[in-house]
Amino acid sequence: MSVTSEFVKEAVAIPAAGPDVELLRKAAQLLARTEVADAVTQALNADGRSLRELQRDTGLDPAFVSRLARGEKLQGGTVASLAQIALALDKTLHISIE
Amino acid sequence: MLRFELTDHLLIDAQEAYLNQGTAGGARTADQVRMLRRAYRGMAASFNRRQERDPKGALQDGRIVTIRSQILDPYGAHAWPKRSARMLLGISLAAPSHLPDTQCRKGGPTYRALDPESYVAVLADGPPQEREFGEMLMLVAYLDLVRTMQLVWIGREQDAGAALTAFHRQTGDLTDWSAVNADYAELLAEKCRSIGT
Repeated sequence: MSVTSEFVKEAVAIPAAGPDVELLRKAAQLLARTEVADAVTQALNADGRSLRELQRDTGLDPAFVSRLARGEKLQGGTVASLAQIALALDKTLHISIE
Repeated sequence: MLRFELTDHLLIDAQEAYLNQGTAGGARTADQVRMLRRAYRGMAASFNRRQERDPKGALQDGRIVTIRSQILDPYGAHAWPKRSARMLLGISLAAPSHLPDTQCRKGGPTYRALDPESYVAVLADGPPQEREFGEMLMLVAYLDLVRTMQLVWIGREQDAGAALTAFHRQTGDLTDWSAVNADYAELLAEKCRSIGT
C-alpha cells in the first residue's frame, strides 16, 4: 500500500460535512491516557519509592498519581500534572510531536 | 519480546467497506475507523519503543496466560500495571479463536500443534467504563512464533461476527497468514515442512 493511495483514502473518508472534531478529541483522549500512564509508571518504577514515601517526601497525592499511572479517565490529568510529578521526582519532562 | 503492529491494508479495507455503504452512518463509522486506527498507530509506536528501551521490564509475549497474569489480573506479579500495556486492557479472551486442528500437510502436524499459543481475539479501546469509541471493536491476531499482536480489523460491535468470518475466509481458516504477516506465514510453512519428516 503506497503512502499516496493511503492518503487519498484517508481524505476520501472524511465526510462531506468536514472533519469531526469530537472524534479527534476521543482519539486524543485515548492516546493521552496511555502516554501519561506510561510516562508516570516508568518514572515511578525508576524512582523506586512507594506512593506513601513520595507523599511524605514531595506532597504528591498518592490517589491522583495512582490513577494517572493506571491510565484512568480523570479530570486534571494535564501536562502540568506530569510536570509536577517530574519535578517531585527530580526529573525533567520532555514533550514532542513526531 | 511482544510487538504490536497494525495491518494497515486490512484496516483500510474495513474503512472503505463502511464508506462504500453510501450512507451517513457508513461515512460516520468509516471516520471512526480512521481515527481509532490513527490512535492505535500512535499507541503501537509508543508501546514498541518502550518495550525496546527496557527489554528487562518488557512484556515478553501475548500468550493468553501472560495477558491474564500480567495485564488483566489486578493482583498480578507486578506492583504496578505493566506499563505500555494499557491498550490490551480491553482484550476479550473468553472465547478466542485458535489455529485449527487440521493438518498442515498430509500426514503432518496440525496448525495448532505448530503454534499452539496463537489466537484471534476481540479488543475494545479499554474496559467498558473507559471507552472513548463505545460501539467500536477491533480484532487482534496474536502470532506466537513472531510474538506479534496484529490489529486486523476495526468496526462496529454489531459487525464483529461478520468481520471474524471474513477474516477466517481471508486466512483460509487461520492457516494462510501471508496477507497478514509474511514472516509468520513463512515460519509456519517451514515448521510444517520440518516436523515429522
